[in-house]
Amino acid sequence: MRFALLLLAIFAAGSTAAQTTYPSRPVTIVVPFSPGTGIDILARTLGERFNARWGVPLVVENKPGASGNIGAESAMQAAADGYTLLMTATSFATNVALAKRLPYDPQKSFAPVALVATGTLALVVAPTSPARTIKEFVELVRTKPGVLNYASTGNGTVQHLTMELLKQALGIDLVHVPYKANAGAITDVAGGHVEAMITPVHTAGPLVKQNRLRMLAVLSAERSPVFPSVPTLKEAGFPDLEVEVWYAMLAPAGTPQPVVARLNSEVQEILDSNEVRDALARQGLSPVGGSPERLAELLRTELARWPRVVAKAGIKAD
Amino acid sequence: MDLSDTRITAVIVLLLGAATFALERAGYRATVFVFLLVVLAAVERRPPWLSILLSGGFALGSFYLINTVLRVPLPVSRWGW
Amino acid sequence: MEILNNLALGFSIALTPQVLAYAFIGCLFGTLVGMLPGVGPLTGISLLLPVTYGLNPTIAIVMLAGVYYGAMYGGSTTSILMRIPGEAASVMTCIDGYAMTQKGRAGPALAIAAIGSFIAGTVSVVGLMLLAPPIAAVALKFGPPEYAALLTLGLLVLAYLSSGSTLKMLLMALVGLLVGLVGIDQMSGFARFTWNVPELADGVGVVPVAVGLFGISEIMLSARSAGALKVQKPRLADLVPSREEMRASAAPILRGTLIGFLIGVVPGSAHIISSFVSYALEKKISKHPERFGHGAVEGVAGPESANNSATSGAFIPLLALGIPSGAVPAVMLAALMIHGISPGPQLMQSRPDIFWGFIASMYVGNVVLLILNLPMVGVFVSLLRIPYAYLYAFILALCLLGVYSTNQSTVDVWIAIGFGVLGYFLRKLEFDTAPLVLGVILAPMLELAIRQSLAMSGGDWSIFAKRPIAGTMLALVAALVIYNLLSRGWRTRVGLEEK
Repeated sequence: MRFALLLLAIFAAGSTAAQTTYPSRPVTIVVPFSPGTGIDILARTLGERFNARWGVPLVVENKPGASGNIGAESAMQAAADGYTLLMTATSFATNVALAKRLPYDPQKSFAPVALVATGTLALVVAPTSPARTIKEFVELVRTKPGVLNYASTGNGTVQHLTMELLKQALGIDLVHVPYKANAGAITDVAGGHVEAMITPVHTAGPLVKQNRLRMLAVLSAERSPVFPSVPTLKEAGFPDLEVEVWYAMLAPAGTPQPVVARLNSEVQEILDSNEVRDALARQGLSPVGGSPERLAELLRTELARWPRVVAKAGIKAD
Repeated sequence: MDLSDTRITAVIVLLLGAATFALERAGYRATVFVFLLVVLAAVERRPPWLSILLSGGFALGSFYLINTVLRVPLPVSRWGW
Repeated sequence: MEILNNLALGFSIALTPQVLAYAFIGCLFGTLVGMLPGVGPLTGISLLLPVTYGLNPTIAIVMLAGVYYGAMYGGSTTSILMRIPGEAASVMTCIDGYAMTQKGRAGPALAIAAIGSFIAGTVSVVGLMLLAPPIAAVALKFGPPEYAALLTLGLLVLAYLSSGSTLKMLLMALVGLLVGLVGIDQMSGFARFTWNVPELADGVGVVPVAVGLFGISEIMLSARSAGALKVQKPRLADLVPSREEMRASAAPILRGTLIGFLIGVVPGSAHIISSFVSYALEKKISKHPERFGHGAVEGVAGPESANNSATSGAFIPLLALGIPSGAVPAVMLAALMIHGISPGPQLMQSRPDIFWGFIASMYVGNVVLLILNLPMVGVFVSLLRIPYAYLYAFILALCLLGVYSTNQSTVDVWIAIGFGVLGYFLRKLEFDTAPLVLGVILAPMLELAIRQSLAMSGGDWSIFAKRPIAGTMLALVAALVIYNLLSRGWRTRVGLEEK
């Protein structure tokens, strides 16, 4: 009798184990940047929603360093069972262009899950600058090659590379003044110490509204809803340059397809909710979603584009 | 320098090094438990049952507080601990 | 007066039970986070941010600001009791704070730290309230050359930090500066001294260095199998600062408040050095500078006040202009924007309830923290009754925990241990380790500022003289250096002249 009960208990335990679906324990998402950065906040926002929907926490693990390489490496080495994910951004692609060797293969080490959000970049100038439109700016710089400065958040960052791209496309020459963080860079442009910079629209937002910064153009296909009076590069008659900051979720390569699909649909539903859309909009981000293939396509394009920019501009990193 | 002092200091450094090495391999709880146990019982010669109790309490308690409540991840070994 | 009306509005919002409750939670959380070495307000705020999404903006901001302040208060607790800096800003409190603990005056040290922080926090909020827009406008004038000049002034502070041989102090500072330069160079992208260890790409990190150099080395020095350390049995009377101590702290608190506020206002991470500057100032103008390092209460009162008022100062560019002056204000900015608030001068007009509610809650937050911390002094001090033989094991584990969780990195822990060993030998050889930490903090910032200035001017060094603010500060530095060289007292102390 006792033996039968024992067998029953084992059987029951076994079948419960077989029925656990993903996720049955906390999921970790590695954020390769420090807490409080845009990507971190995005991951935590998603995390809160996942938690509410699954009943299982999505824990953010901040592993900053080396422009995101450390976190990426750590995620790559984790088990591909869907319990470790990676949140990444544009720097994922730009790092490939800069580094001599990476501890991971950007195409093969990861399985795309979902493209989460994108942000628009804009060209801003100091309030003291004589240029009031993008045309005037280009003319101004062409008359003074190598004299005027631009700020960025550091050597090899998206802002730096985008400005180099812009310089190549528009045929202008500005001197690079790198900063350690966005705050310092944008402050100095507002203070007139540096002439211009490329920055996400929402970072510049408050300052532009106070007339402490002038936004000359947005680098996207359409005008920003937040600043409808600012033209796109194409509208201003210049080569159509579109550069976006993007944020995406990846999983280690080999994560089972059903898990990836489940994650993707969850992200999509979260992004469809009003609360999240509002929160993102206020940070200047547009929710995207879409299938994993869409993300794969973006990665392919980005990974092809940036090495060309870096090579032409002669940027080095160790 | 007093020799017995230096020896204790050296042992502490070695233990710290070993703990750091083990941290991501054996997981936080196991590493901290063993570390505390060795310091309390072997180095300081405190009664074994008390050392086990305190070490276990701290390892588990701090893990719970930081990892579970605050959701700041702490290393967990391959075997789940 | 209009300000009083606005304040009344603010307080009417801040003193509602709901807002108070969330302020309390934020402060409590912040204190806990601050006490853990390594984990700082940045992590705390990021953790709570998603939780605030459903709350109304005032409550959300009040709670998050509470975390920030609480962390400053909490950081001083571990500094004083265990000589472990909770974050870089608490390093100076470790020195005299722990010395006071060793003399049995832990209670008064904690109490004075709390009181000083409270006064500094409150006064600086007043400053914030009255002076935000004009100060913010001046703050914008600080470009890289001005920043470089300010940091050079900070370097000068090193000269006053150390009581022993100047040569030893300079050596420590040099080591610190060199350590601070490790990492990928911002301007050229070249890796310096990183030995292909990716974790070093962003530099060595002040937190592991500080925790190792101060906390771990202290334990290495004090751990003895003979259990010889005196077990503290504090009486109630010992918890309260003596009248002397209170009197001695008054002026340092005020000076620290002013220094912290001014330095905190400058956009950028310079506010970390406010506690160093305050310590150096107190030591310089004290009539008995040799007491510093052995439990001088001024060495606790000044830096602690400077810390807290720098925190408020850092909010000025944020609230008045929408410019974050460091990582923590940047998260606060994100939090504000997520809740639909766009900081800037129009905030005062368009949403006075939020602006003044926030200011009022900063007052309230300081009061809450004072109430939280003062009674806890008794609890904390009684922790010291635990025989050291038990205590130090847990302190070491705490250091492991704290340093690791900052960046989820074992490399950081190795660095801390390494600096612990270094600190052990340094202290045995009677080197003062504070200049090293200051060097690590200053080096990357100063170098970057100088090179940015040169990039801006196209390689022209005269940019430092041509810009008024930078030029004035550098002239001040030069004047101080020359004065010291000419001053007989200094030359004797340094050994350039016989007494």
